[in-house]
Amino acid sequence: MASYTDEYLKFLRLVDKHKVDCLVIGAYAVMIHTKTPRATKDMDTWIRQTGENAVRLSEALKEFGDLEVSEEAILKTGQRIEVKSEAFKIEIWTSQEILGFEEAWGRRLTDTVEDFSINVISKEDLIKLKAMPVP
Amino acid sequence: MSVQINFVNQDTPADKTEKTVAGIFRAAGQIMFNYHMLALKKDIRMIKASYAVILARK
Repeated sequence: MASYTDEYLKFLRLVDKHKVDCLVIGAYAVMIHTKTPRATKDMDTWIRQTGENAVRLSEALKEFGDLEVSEEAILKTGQRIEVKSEAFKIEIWTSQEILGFEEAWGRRLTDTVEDFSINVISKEDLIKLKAMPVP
Repeated sequence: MSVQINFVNQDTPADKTEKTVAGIFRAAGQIMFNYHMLALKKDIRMIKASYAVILARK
């Protein structure tokens, strides 16, 4: 079997542990909704951009990879946060052009993996994001 | 494994391609592992699943 890492699961477990409001979007959301594997280079997530959530994400990232990230850095607009090593990449989006986090959060799918919960963007919102032109 | 964090302009497109054969197989392994765990709720290490990697060129 080819090599793999379980860093994505570790990240999602910590997101749940620290109660970060975070949606799985992108290819992994496609896989969860369709039950079909899809090629991807990373795992995309989308966080609620509030002070409280930034603090919780900061704590999760500290535990994940001993990463020091300030609340201010997380709250800066118009950016995405890349957490990566040679073996994996997690992209944390802070906003989406065509969709508000609150609407998407209201329609989310909550799923259980092993002993923790993950929040996944709804199928209809995922289609909206995937239909957006790539810059 | 050293983990790093970068802040990227949201309009900057992400790099979507693997540059090496090793990278392709690593990514394929990772996709299948996470696909089984997140979508099918099965541990690929326990069920001895097999899969093929089909290489394509643009």
